[in-house]
This record gives sequence, C-alpha cells and structure tokens, in this order.
Amino acid sequence: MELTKELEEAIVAPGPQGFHPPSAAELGVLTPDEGYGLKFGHVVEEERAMEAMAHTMFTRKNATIFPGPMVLWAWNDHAADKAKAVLELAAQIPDVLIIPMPDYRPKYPKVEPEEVINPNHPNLTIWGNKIEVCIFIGVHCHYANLTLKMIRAGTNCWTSAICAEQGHEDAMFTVRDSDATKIRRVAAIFKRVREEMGIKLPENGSNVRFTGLQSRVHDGKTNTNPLDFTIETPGDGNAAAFGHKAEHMQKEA
Amino acid sequence: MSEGLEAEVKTNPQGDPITSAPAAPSTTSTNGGRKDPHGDAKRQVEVSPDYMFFEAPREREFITGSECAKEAVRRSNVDLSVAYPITPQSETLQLIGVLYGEGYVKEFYRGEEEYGVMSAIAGASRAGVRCFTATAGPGTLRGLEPIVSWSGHRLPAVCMFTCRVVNAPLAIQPDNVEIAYLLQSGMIVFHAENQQDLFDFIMKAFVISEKNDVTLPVGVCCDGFFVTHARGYCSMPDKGFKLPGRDPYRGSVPVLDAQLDCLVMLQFKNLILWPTTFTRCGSRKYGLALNGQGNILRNIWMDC
Repeated sequence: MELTKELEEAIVAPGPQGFHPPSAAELGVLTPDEGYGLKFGHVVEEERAMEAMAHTMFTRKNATIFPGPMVLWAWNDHAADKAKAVLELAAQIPDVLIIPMPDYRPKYPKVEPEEVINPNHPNLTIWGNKIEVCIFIGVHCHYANLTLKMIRAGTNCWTSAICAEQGHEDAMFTVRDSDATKIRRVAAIFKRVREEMGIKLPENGSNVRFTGLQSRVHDGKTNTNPLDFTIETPGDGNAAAFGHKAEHMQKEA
Repeated sequence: MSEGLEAEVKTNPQGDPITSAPAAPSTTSTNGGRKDPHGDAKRQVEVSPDYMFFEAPREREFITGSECAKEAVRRSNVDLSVAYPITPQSETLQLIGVLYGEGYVKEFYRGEEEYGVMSAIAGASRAGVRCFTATAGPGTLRGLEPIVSWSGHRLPAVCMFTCRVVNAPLAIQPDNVEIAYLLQSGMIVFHAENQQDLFDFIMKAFVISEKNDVTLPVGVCCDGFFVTHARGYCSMPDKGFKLPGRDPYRGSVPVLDAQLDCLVMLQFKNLILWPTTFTRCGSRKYGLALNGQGNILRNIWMDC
C-alpha cells in the first residue's frame, strides 16, 4: 500500500510542522462518524485507517505502542480485557517498543525517555528513542489531544490513535469506539497486512523490544514475548470492589 | 438528619407545599409503621436521557422557578450539592436541602461562602461525582475565581445563576451583568427565560457537561425573581424517573485519585518496568522499579 498520493493531499500531515501549527480542528477536520476513521484528516472507512496504521508501523523506524492509563490500570474487567487485546496487537508488530504513559503528571526535573512518555512533553520520549511511528491507545481524550498536537509540531513521528470515544483528528490515522473487540480487529488487520507484505515475526515470539532501561530492569534481556504475560484481573481495592462494572468503560448505546 | 422522623408533608416558611407536584404513591415500610424518608428516592428508576427528554409522559404543573430547579435536580441523580445563601437563590438550595432529606441528593452541606462552595464543587467534580450548586449576583463574582477554574480543569459541574444586580447601587432586582463574566469563563452558558426552560436546561446541562467530547461546566442562568419566584407552567416527567448517574470513566480527563484506587494492579508491570517488587503501604501497594542489582531506580508512586 503506497501512501504517497495520500500524503500529497494530507490535511493532517506528518511533522515536524514547526512551532504551534494549526490544530486539525482549525484545518476543518472533524472526528469521524461511527464506522469511519481518519486518514491524514480525510474520513475513510475504518478498515482503511487500520490498514494505514499497520503499513506505517511495519515500515517506519522504531515503531512504538504508547499504552495509556485506561489500559495500564485494572480499573475493571473490561480494562483488563482491553489490555490483553493491546498485547495481542503488539504481538503482530516485529521489534515493537512499548513505552507506557501511566499518568499525566509532569515529570520533573527530567523525563526518562526509556521509561515513560508524558503528555506534557511527549517530544522528549519521541526524540530520545528516535521513534518515527507510534500508536496511542488508552489515553484520556484531553491528554491525547495535547500530545498528538505536540508530536505533530516538533517531531517526524507518524501518529495513530486507537480511541474508545470519538477518535482524534490530530492523529494521522485514527479509529473510534475501540473496545476490546475492535482492538482485536485491528490486530487481525495488522496480521493480514503483515502477511501481505511478507514480514515475519521471530519464531520464539519475542517480538517486543525493550528500551535500554527496560532491558536493564529485565537483567539484560533485549526482547520479550507479549503473550507470555498474564493480565491480572481486578481484585480487592480496585474499581470493581467499589461496584463499578465493565459496562462503565464501554461505549454508551 | 432526622432518620425516619420526617413529617408527611413538608412546607416552606410561607406554609405552601414545597412543590405542587403530585405526591408519589404511598411507600410506607414496615419499619415500625414509619415511612422511610428515602423510600421514594430508592425506588427511582434510571432511564436514558433520550427517554427522559423526548419520550416520557409529562404532567404540567404550576410552580415557581425555584421549584422547577428542585424538580430537575430530583430527576438528575445528583451526588453532591453545596449551598450558600444569597437572594434570590437561597430558596433554590433550601429546596435542594429538602431533596437531600428525602434521599434524592446523596450529599449536601452549606459552604463557608461562595469561594468555598465553588472550590468544593471543583474538588468533588474532579473526584468524579455529579455536582450542582447555585448562586446569584455578588455571589457569582465572589466565587468567580474557582468558577473559572472549572473549565480550565474540564470539570462537568452544573451551576444555576439566578441573576441579580451585583452592586452599586445595592439592589436585589434582576440584572444580567454577571452573565457577561460567565461568558468569558470558558463554561457553557444557558439562559432560561421561563420556568419550563429552567427545568429542562438544568437536566440537560448534566447530560451535556458530562459528554466525553464536552467535559465542561454548564451555567444555567435565569432572571432572579421573575423566574425563580414567579409561578409558571412546567411539564415534567414522572418523579419516579432519574437520569443515569455520572460515569467518571468517560470524561476526557481522569478523575482525581482514580489511579490510587486502582493501584493494586499495573497490568504491564511484568512486561515493561515494574517487574519485581510491590510494597504495601497502608491499604495501597506501591510499585518500585529495580535495576539488575536490586537498587531502586525510581520510587514510582510514593509521590502520588
């Protein structure tokens, strides 16, 4: 799949766009309706947006998944299920990095780019790891908007947003209403595109690459298999214990 | 609160029934023959906003604007209301206090003054609960600093402004000066021209403010006295219905301390960075990132 023509017509083009570029909304880009996604600011069927995400994650350097709090924390069973789906998606991308955005507090005096990404200065993690393509998933909308604009302004990183709500117009590619089922659909499309491109995964399944810091924490291991890790289900002290159910995390009817 | 000792019919200081809405069917319990003061509230049924606003049968009542606000809050599944009296708003929050006594509002108290009230609303909304308050004229300006902070923090709170003269000359007549300030505060501002508007706008304000792609405070303004104290016709759905409660997970910003409540599990801890040690402090666990030699690289959560 060649994206050259689309790039020429892009409304939301990859950066660096310079200091304080106009937001996608200022450029007239609205979030897509149900069943649709965005590709460079244009509304497309969501499957086309997913294919574009896959293509770029397989072709650009240092592909990275940035999981946010809504899939990092066991808020409830649904969040745990989504986290599993994210790992299944990661399992389809060779040499992928996973760098979490566990919260939104500014990290001072210094961000450790091999440890976290922070919405207040995401460019530091992008630059620090030379990331040229990434997927955000499970980040609260307000902070995803902030982050995506900053990345487009100051880096050459292509961004995708797999969003549980309306999608993100400031990402190059986005799909909306992403519950665990849809994330698994994204993973299936990644698998298809990868096989069409003839890209193979490591035979031992260890396709997730550690950052330097992650590697040091894991006794020098350089890679790991995302499907080896079990997701712990919600237990005492979490949201489920306070009566919150999986439906609370799902899209309203 | 005097559990179980509420009078059958409450009256306001003027001796009128608090509302002219028809009383719910008798809901006596077997608790020594006493009526459960929260019985009707407990029996309220959550319905979708679409049903509440567009499908539910409505009955028309002839009530004051303050009573309209009360009836709207009764059907809005409000968690917290904080009061501070100021003419012509005082009666509205007094009636919300009655709702608290009846169990329709989960928490209610009187603040120190408007600055404290609006700050309390900010904190509560940030904590993830549905909040309602009201003020007027000088109270609006006194509380303006925290009111402006609501939109900056993307807090879905609802405040009713029963607009009146601010000051100079000191008066309590209707005036719209305060709306000019609210229009610059980043909040969504509705202006209710009559009692029906006030009822509808307050209920819809909760739904709109909590929409994920909105996540902003809403101010519902009306003329003091002309709307709050005058009676008008208001069509209302049955008070046995209420809106769904606020879902704090669906906002565009996370609610305060939610992560602490959920801190027991970091799902990627084995995969990414927190592989080895979880210590328990009180009822919460804190993750420590260790390097290969077991030295603490970063105490990740102690500063939460």
